[in-house]
Amino acid sequence: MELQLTYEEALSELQGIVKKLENKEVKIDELASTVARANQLVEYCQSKLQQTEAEIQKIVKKG
Amino acid sequence: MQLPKKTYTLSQLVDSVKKVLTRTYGEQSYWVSGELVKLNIKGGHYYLELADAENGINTAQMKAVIWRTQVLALQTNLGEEFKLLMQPGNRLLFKVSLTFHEIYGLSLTIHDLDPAFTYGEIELKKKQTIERLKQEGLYDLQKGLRLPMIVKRVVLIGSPDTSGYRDFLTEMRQNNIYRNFIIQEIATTVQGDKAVAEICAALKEADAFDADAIVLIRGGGSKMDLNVFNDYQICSVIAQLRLPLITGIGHETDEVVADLVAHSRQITPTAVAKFLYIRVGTFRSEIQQLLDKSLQLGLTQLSQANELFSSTNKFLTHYFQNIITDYRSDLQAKLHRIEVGTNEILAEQRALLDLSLEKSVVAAGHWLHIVQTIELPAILEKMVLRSTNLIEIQRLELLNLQEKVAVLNPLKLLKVGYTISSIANTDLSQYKGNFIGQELQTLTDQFTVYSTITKIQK
Repeated sequence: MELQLTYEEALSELQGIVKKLENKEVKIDELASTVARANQLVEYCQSKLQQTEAEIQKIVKKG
Repeated sequence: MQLPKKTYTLSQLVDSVKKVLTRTYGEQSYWVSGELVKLNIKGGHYYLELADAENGINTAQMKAVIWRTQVLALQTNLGEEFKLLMQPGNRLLFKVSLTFHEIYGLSLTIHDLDPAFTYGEIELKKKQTIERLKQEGLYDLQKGLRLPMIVKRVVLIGSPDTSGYRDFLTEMRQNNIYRNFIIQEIATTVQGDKAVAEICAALKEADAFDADAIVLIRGGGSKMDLNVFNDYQICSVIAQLRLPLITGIGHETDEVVADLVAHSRQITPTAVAKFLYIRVGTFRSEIQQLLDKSLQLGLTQLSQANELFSSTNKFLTHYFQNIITDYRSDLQAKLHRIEVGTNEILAEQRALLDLSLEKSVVAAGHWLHIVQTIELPAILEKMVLRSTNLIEIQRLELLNLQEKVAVLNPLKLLKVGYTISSIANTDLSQYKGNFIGQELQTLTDQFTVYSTITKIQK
């Protein structure tokens, strides 16, 4: 699934999920889907970071 | 003894008288003048009563006759004049012969009549009338009256059946100059016994109207016809009228006294009408002339003013053009000076700028060199370092979050044998309501247990 989010939005959503889990605010029925969403967001953020890093390297090498 | 009286019969005496008279006067005829006192006409014969008077007292009186044949002869000779001459009151010159009749006595037989004598008499009487009017201060009274320039309201005195009367009205109403007259007509006879009294009455009546003038007309006639207008009584009334009187007593040669005492006299009734409307026309044309003149004057003044304006305008235009030219050349000179001055300033500034630019270029070159060789690579390095750090921090946080999610994941807890209890989809630790009788939902790894709470122990 392709996410149309900025890194900040994805990170903020992930932090929100963690907070909810810590406070036990997540309904039982939504537990599984919430955890799945958290994993997805983590992956998305990781890939974004990787991509940025690669781009920076590319720019520096060009200079 | 007395001698018997010598007596004659009346016939003898009368016969003797007749013989003496016939011998003395015979068949001879004489020209005799006298006033006609009375006239009777019988069977064509004229029976007259002639008299002479002095200071109103008769000094002689005699009967006279004109036989019918003679009347006819005189009528043929004198025409209409005969009748007029034979008016009581006229003094006449007759050719007569003396006739003595045994029964009727002495009388005159008239054979001829000389009208010239009567005319002379008329002239004489006229002079006397004029003299009397002058003596009484009446003669010039009418001349002192003012006849308005426009005589519009007219009282007309005359005999309506005459052509002169009709001519007057026609001329007044059908001329091409002015026809708006208001005419008050007073009918009167102008000849005969009653003429004097009627004319006097008519004049007095006319004078009472609110009019501009009285017109007295008579359509011509012979000397005898017009004699009525020599009458003292009529002339005296005319002289004392309040309104001016204009006469139109048609005659060509001699004037009558009424003409002389009237304000104005015209020859015929038609001439009076012409006099009146031409007077209006003259007044109108005078007014027109004055108007034309003032218009002309106005136009002349206008054109003079126009000329003055035009020449002043030309002068001013020329004058101002000169001034403008002067100003313009002055302005151009100033403009030129400004241009030159500005150019100088500009050149100076330009040179200054050029110098500054040169300096700037050199300085910029130096700075650029420093930036390119030293600053930029340093910044780049710093930037890369910072970015890498940032990414690293993020990565760590992400890892932390990932671990937290893993730790907090309840599904894992369920797998190792833990359960999660909830009431009405709310975690038990979070539930605030009454527990007893509520349905408790217990989630395990394999299934969900639904139980009813019967007891709570803290």
